[in-house]
Amino acid sequence: MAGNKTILVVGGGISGMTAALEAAEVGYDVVLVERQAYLGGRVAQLFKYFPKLCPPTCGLEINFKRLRSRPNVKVHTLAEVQNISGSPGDFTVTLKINPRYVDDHTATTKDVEDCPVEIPNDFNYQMDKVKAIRLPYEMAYPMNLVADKDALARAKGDSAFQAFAQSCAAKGIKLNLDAQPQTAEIKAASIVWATGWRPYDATKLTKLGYGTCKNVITNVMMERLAAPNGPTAGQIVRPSDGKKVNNLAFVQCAGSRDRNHLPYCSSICCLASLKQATYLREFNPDAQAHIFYIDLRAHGRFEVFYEKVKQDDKILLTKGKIVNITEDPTTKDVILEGEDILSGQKIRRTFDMAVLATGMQPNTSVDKVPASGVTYDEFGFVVSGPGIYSTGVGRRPMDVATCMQDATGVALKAIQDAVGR
Amino acid sequence: MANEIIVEPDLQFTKDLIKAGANDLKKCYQCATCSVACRISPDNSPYPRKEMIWAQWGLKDRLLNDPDVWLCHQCNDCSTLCPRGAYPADVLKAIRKMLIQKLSWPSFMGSLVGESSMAVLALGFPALVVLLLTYFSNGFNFSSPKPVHYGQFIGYIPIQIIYTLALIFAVVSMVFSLKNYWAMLDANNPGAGQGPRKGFVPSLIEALKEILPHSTFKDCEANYIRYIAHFLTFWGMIGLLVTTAIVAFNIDILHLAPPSRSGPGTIPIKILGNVSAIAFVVGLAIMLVRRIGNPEQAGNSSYFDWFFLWIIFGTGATGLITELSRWAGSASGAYFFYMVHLMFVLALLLYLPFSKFAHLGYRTIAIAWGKSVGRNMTVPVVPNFVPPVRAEEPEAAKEATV
Amino acid sequence: MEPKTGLYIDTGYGIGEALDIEALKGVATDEFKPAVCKAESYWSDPDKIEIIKSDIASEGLKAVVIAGSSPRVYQDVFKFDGVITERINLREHVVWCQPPSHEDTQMLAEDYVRMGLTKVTKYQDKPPFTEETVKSILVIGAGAAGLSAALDAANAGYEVFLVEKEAELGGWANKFSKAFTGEPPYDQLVDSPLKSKIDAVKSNAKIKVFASSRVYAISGAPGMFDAVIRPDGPWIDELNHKQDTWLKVQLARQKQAQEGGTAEAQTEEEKAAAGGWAVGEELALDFPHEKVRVGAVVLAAGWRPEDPAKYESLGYGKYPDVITNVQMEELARNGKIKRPSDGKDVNSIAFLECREENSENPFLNNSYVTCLVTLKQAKYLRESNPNGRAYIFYENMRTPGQYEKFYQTMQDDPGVFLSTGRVLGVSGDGAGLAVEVKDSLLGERLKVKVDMVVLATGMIPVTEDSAVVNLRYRQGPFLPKNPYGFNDSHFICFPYETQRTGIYAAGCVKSPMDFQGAESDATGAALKAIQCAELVSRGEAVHPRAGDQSYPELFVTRCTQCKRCTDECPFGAYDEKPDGTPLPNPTRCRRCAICMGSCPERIISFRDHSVDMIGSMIKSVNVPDEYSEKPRVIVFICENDAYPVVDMAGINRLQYSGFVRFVPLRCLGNINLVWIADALSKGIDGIMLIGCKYGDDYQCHFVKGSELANYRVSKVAETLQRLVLESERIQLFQLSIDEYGKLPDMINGFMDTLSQFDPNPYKGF
Repeated sequence: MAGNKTILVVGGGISGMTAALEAAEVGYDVVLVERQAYLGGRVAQLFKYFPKLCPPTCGLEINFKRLRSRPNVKVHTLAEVQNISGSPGDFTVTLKINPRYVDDHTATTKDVEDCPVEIPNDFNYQMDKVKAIRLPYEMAYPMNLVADKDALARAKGDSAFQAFAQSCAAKGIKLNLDAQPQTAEIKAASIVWATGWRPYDATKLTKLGYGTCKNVITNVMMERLAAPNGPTAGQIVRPSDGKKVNNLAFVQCAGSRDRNHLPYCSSICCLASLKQATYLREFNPDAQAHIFYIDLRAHGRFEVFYEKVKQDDKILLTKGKIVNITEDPTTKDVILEGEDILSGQKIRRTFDMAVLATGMQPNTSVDKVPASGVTYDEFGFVVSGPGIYSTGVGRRPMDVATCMQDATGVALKAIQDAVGR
Repeated sequence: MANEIIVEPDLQFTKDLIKAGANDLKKCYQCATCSVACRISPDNSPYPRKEMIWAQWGLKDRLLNDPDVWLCHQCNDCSTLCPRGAYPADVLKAIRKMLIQKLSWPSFMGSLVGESSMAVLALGFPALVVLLLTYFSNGFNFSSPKPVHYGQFIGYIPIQIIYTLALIFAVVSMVFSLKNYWAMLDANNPGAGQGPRKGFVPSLIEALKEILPHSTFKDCEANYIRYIAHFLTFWGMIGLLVTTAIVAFNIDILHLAPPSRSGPGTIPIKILGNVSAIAFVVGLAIMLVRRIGNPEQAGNSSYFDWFFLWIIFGTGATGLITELSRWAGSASGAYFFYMVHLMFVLALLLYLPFSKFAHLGYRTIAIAWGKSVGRNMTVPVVPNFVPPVRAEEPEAAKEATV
Repeated sequence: MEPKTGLYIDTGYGIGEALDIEALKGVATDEFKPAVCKAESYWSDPDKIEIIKSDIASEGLKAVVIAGSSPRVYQDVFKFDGVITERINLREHVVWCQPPSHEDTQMLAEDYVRMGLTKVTKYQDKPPFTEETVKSILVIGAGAAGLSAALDAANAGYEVFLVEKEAELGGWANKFSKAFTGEPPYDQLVDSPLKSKIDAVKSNAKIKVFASSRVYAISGAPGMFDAVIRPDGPWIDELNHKQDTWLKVQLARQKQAQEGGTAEAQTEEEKAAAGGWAVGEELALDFPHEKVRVGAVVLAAGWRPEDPAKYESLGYGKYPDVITNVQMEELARNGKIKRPSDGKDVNSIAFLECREENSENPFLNNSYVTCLVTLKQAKYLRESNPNGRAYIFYENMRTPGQYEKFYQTMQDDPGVFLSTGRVLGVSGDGAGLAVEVKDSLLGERLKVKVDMVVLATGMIPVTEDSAVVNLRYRQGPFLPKNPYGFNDSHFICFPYETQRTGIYAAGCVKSPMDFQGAESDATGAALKAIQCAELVSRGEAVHPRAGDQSYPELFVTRCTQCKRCTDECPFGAYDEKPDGTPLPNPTRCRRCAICMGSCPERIISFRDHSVDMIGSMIKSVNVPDEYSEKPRVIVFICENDAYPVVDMAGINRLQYSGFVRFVPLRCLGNINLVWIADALSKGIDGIMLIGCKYGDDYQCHFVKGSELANYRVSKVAETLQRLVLESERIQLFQLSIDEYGKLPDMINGFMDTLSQFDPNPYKGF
């Protein structure tokens, strides 16, 4: 389409990818910038979606397929936006693009499994270790290895590593730790900001035992625990002793709806916990899940899902916030304290493991948009900016389907600035 | 509690509560953090969550008949953790104030002490009494006699009479209110607690065993220092009462000279008196400093709090200053502060049943009542759920290798 | 061989070590004689790509076949204009999942080379389907959603026709007293949320508004929809009657299909309806109307209040002072809130945002919106009467996201009393009403006396009552609903995909939304509409095969009018000609090729995908004789989910039987039984079909592909009987994309089943 200008999409999570693809399929040129080494963002780390309990990778795959057949989307991974200047219709954006430090022919983690250097696995929220050279995950897009420069640089001296480096070369995998970050400047007519969210830092919830009790984890970790490609290959077992979880507690509003943490409602945690309760029940038919909540916010069609989960007599629901979590020093069981509001009795129960339903904090509450004129609400969600359109959880806490719906709309807003008029 | 109630929210009461210092009570969304955050809240129908919803719904009778408000020691654990910033501790405090006023007898005393508009009158009355007393004793002559002889500055006999009357008035009124309170609790908490009722005296003794060493107070977390402060003040006051009693006994019965003018024989009494006084004043000072310096932590303070705090602090402080001035050899100073001291003491005595001071009575009674109906039963930790053992499916093993 | 082909075998990735490359080349050259046959490592390297390009130039290659990594990688690199490019997956599907330098591994690789080279011989050279299309957008409904859709499309430069059944634009916004905005600081109410939008629409030259009008009919296809718009009037009843008749017939048909009973006798009218919606019947246009041609449609017809009659038990209808939240809006609009029964000032209201004691049905139609409305209306009362008391009984207070703040501000009002609860009943004496509630936060059953009760009734999509779009499609006038009864996608990942290409729903026909939600949703729908118009103008398919320029072609002379294609197309792409033969609408088509599978006469084909192509590939598989003890199994896999599963099994080096040959299909619903017959008659021992999960929570990108496949396979029994073969030789498996761990067991398990049978007796025939 003649006269059209480029649209820049920042953030390669589900929202950003959707915005980019929808605009591209209309016929616009798009530059998609992602900070990680792979696209998919938080969604790539989920096990299943509610309410259909289908795998997110299914939707990711189809988006990757769309990307591969859309030459008018240029993807930069390991890249960050450093500066935005100019005005709607005519932005100049500076990108910093970091190298992968390894050049390969779509090799896989298997090809580098004898790498002697290991680092904590961020993809699994550091529940396990991973090779310093690896495929981010088996469906990663782009399907290329990425190397942790610092870790490898430290090992550079020892012979084991050098031997490994040679074996790599034989496989057509070239390590290049001296590669330098590059800066690129691109022109864009409009910008979609989709930098998404981070799980709220559970260590700030001092009473809820995260970090002090071995068997207290967060809901995002639970997703990895249940996932076949997670740290336990889908075994829902407790961190302390690898024991199969028989009795799991979900602590809702862990940091959300709380003026001392996140004052707003994160919208999705209730459904996430209902969903994760089904993970446990499927993995271990004898197990029991217990959800402690203030309000169970399963609205609209999700209510049908809620009703379905409620039918399971081994999934218990109790109205009452959990206030205190401590650890039994011998068994490492976790002891939860709360009040069962409807019966007016205090609760003191022990569980194999507790999952904190931590909320979603917009990344823009920490890393602001490097442009002038962008306004935020009191919680750090982006409200608006001239020619800059926020979408996804950077705008409002929302579930995946809503993110995609929102991103599709935002693509049109971006097009309105880019249309050749 | 399955009985049906017809709810007629008392909007005015809610507003009064808010005025009485429960500014944020409406913010509560009933997550029950407070009930659990509170270390000393009982396990069956714990406070303050239920009090919060009652307050929001203006259920006046519920709140005024609720002994639990006195179990709260105002440590603010609940307020600091409250996700909504509803300050449950302040709400309970406001309820206690309204209760004291409601039960105060004669009732006008309640408003006299409780309403800031009455401050001048409330403070003026005892001051005036002492001024008259001084005037008729020796016409405001602060310079003689030297060395200091309080007995000639203001005659003992009138003091004895007035202060004994005041004391009697306070005690009678207090006892009267507390009797009503006990009856009220009995009447309006049907079926409260489990097990057979205990008698008043054993319950009271049980309660005192808990109160005197501040054993529950100790559990407060957010505000541990308040426990120390209160402990000092409490025992300091006891000490001073004992001292005063002994001195009075010496003077009136044994006709000895007051410690201020007698020899080494009275040194033990002096030590007791001074130590107590210091403890008393230091404790109060801590409370004051914290309330002024760190209201977020100490909970915000209403006129009702300040009134009582300043009077009791004044009592202690002026007492000390009087003694110090005497040692410093300033007779006039000693006499002047002695006079002021007397004013404070009178106020303290007179207003005991109507000011926050009354909490020592109400709390004791409420706790005793709780003991008598067997409140505060502890639910044990429910042990970990263990599913019935069944043969392990081989699938599980296979999956693990995926 | 034709077309002139170059085969490029990649020896990288360990392929060179695991396979006898020379033998592999031998197979290719002996059996197919490609113009070029080269083996080197990493053809994806730029310099290697140059070699291929120069071969294309020098040899005049028409087809390039790369035998190496999965087609899921380097798709962008192996792209040669005007040249057919085919990929053979020797990496994930052979060397990564089979023992190296093994006879069976070699045979597997050779078969894939045969299949790949056979495939390229079957490509047809056809230009994309491009007819004269338009890009204007039809928007139905001018509420919050419709206005946004219209405005945003127009602002992107597209012509818009906006149809509204009311005389005024704005929909419910005109009937509401106040609305929450969803904008910071999130606790404000505004009077007329849509005013500025309405003005903008009215003054926008690109938008043509049809007020007091409805869509009488939409015929045609994306890029060339013909919409008949007619002023509103009694005729709508006649239209609805038509629809009802049609529905009745359809339901009767379904019943018949399920129970096998005979459908009850039909009236003439019903018979007509049974024929189909658009077929034969001419549009009676003898009334004032306007006909517009549009590229795509946004359905934003909105909602109507749930019928409160079902709340009789809560006193609705019994007591005049029990009203719905919609009636409450009206009361509030008239200033001071007065009681319907006697016009007295209202001092207290009980808002019931919760279900009855023993009602179990979820209130799908309430969502979070009614919670917010309840809070909002409590504010109405408090503003109208400073001493007013608003009791709100809820089950779960649902104020997601930043709306939590709106909830907080309402809490702060001393005159608002909130509690959870389940309603036991509403009773009334002359003076007022009493509401009884259990499970309250006050710890017991409680009763409040009030002047009025407001029921939080839900929002029903108007598509519940009529089709609105009135499609003149063979499959009927309605936009198919998702299992929740909304005109919404059932895909989490693709919220705009309906089963009618080019028609996108927005706003409350999809689910209850607040104004802000509906507006942003409509903007998205507008984009999809624009996108559809653009794609079809380029002869490309829309989601999920966006960009695919192939399209179905029918060799109609062989058609037996069995109507399977018209019935089974999930997207209603086929209409019907008067003679009963199918009438394809290429721009409605999603290219899933389900029709191709449905056709017993095999007359439907795409230029790069046909019954013949797949059949020939299967036939090209080398089948060893029965004494070799080397069974052969054809595995039809859905290319969307099952293919990546196989790749990931390879990536994780999971090993499984080397006797299987994967044949990717566009969708499992693409399966044509003739392939199964071909395979069996050629001596193939067993056939697996691997597709995605079906049922209520189906994962098929084409809605019912895997389900249809299952249905067809169940019908294959007689084929087997004819051939005297065990029915277990054919099995369908459901597999999610992340379940690659289960693939080896699935395949090996199937091989075990086969091992119980003799080899297929037809080997060597």
